Amino acid sequence: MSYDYLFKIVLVGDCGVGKTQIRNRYTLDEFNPQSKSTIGVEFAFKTVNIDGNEVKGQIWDTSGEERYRAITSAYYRGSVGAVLVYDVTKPKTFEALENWASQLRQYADENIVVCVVGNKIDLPTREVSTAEAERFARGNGFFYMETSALDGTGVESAFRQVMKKIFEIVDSRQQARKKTVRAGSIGKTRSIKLTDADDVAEPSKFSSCCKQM
Amino acid sequence: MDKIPTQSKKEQELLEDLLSDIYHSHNRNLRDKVIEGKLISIDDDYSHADLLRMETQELDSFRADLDDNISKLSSKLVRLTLKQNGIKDDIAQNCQVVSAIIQAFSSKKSKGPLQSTFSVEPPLVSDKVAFNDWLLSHRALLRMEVGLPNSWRKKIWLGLAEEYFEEVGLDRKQLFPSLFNSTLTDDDKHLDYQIVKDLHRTANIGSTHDQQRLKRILLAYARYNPECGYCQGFNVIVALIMEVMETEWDTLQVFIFMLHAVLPPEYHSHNLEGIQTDLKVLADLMKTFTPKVNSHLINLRESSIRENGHEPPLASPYMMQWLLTAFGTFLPKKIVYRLWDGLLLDGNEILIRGILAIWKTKEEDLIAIESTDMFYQFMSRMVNSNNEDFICEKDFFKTIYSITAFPMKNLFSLRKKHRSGTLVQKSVPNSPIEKQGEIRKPKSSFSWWPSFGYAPVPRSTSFSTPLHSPDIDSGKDLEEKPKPKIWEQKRSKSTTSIKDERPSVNPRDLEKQEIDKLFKNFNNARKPKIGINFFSRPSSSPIQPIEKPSVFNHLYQRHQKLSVKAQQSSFNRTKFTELLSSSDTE
Repeated sequence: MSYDYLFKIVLVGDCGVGKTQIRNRYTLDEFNPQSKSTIGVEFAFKTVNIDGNEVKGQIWDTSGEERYRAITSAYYRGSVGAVLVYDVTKPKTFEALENWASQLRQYADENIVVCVVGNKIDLPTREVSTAEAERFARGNGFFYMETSALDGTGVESAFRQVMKKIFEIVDSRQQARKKTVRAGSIGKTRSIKLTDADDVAEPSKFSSCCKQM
Repeated sequence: MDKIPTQSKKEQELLEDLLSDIYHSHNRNLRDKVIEGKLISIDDDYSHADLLRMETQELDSFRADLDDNISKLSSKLVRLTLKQNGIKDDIAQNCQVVSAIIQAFSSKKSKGPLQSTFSVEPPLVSDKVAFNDWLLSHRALLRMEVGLPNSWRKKIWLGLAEEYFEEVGLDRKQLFPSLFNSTLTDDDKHLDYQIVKDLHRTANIGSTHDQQRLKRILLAYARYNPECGYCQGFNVIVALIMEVMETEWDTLQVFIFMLHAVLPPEYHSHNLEGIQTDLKVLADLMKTFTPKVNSHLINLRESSIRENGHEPPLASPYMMQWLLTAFGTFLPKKIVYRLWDGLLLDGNEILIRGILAIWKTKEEDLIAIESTDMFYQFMSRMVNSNNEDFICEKDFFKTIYSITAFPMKNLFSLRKKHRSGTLVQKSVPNSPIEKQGEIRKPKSSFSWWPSFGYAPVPRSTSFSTPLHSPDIDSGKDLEEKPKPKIWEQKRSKSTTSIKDERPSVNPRDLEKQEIDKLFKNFNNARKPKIGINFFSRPSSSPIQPIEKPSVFNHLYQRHQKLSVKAQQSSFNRTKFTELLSSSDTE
């Protein structure tokens, strides 16, 4: 399938908050109670239309298991979006967001678009309030959404919001550089932390997306 | 000619059915005997009062019934015992035949390398010759097109695990009940929380009953090795073992054997250092064994980096998953079990070979891929399909066993090289191992199991000349070979006439001929080239001089808690390795 843009988006959060269910709801529109725990990373894809452009989301659904992080955190790099999931019925998973956010800051690109998602709002045993979560999100410069992977509430719009936000950033940069930059590499002005020799060798530094010809 | 035996067989079957019907109905009659309106079963114990209440006549007839029943059951017992003896004889005869075949095709010189009769269960590991013969025979059979029979699996896995516990001197009867204790301590509660989250998310675990069993085994392991505790992925492995082993004890034994004796150290603990190391090792090995796929994936990655600035190594997320569950989440169950037969018998290099075999067998598809995104999509299809069309069992195993000779050259040195690199990134605070500073010392042996198997006890005649056949398969030697000290010693002892390291006759050629014959005989199929050198001595032995026990014994504390005898607490990998390697040098 052809597409104009490809955005890499990571799904992170504690074990059992419903990352894989959110991913399945978004890409397959299904909720499978039999779904297995994610070992390492799993991939899913969905193409949507934003302002007349075909934008493909490449979703990296990572495992919440703590000891995997030494390996999986390396996969955050190069992602332009992150969906940071917690379970509204388990305050522990909300408290862990701080840690996940710092992981993202450490390993992902600094201008990554992050959406905090409170999942399982269909359950009656909610323990983390919307106001509390919004406060956390605002404080970190993230935006906040609430979802239920079970009935589908909010899932589509959470991803859409992330993609749209990324698209806006990319598009504005593209408009600004239209005449000076060859199509395909965008946003040279964006500052990216460089750690790899590979990256240093490469003059085009925007690490997030590509426009296909 | 053919009809007679079938007919008599049928008759025998009918007769047996009839007998079983008679016994069955007889039992039922007795069982249904009603005494004073109370239905009593033959299986129930009669209370004194019950018997007192019976009339003399009633008692007499009841006794007669019982006598009759006893005599019938006795004759049945005799019959079954005879039958059992017959079956035992048949098995013994079949084992003789298998031994003879293996013997015949293993060496023409003298009696061949096998001195003991074939058996399904392993002989005692203390009988080194017999145990080694057993390993060699089973490895030979593993390399056949169909692998080992499924019915052997349970016996072999459990047999190996039990030998392991015997060898390390761990009294399971004393230890295991405390591991399966149902009372949760405060430490357990946290573990329990982690484990419970994965129970219903484990493949092959459907019923609540199975979930509870799985939970007990996972908790027992976490208590056995508190240093490691529970790691996601254990659920997958244990669920698969449980299906084979049935009982919780046996499952735990096999799981411990797999983790502590077969897989490299720290595959699931300490930020998965073992896996991090193996991912780097695999990146090197792919250059040698799957060069086309490797360079294609590197090109894809590089072009993605040019466009987007960053792209992780493409194969890494998949290989991580495969290593974490020993392919449990990826391959069809049937293939996983067969692969695990190899894993337990041939050692952990089977996992490495398995990964290389996947890239190799999928080479055509992979090099046709044009972008990283296409690669991820292709791999997702492969991972999610979990069907046998995607991986051809025959090709997969053929590649595993033929990709290079056993043991895989450089695996040991590559692991050693990359392991020290990985250690720098360690970030587990307050781990007892780290506090002791032990972890920074590279482990002396990464895979004692295959090193034991590939260092057979010296024999006077068979293959006595070439103990060391250098670098036959390729010039692509990435690293210098580990110097096999033990072999040097042995050579100087047993092959005084040989001055040159290179044997005059290439032993591999000889073996290859023999193996080809073996295959022809077994399969009656194409001339296979798989199954190289299962009777061979290693080209380079992975055995390294063992460091004296500076290694942290993660069971030690546990043992003290459980007040197991002090001598039993000396359980660790190093000790076992020492035992084994010293047995080889004798």
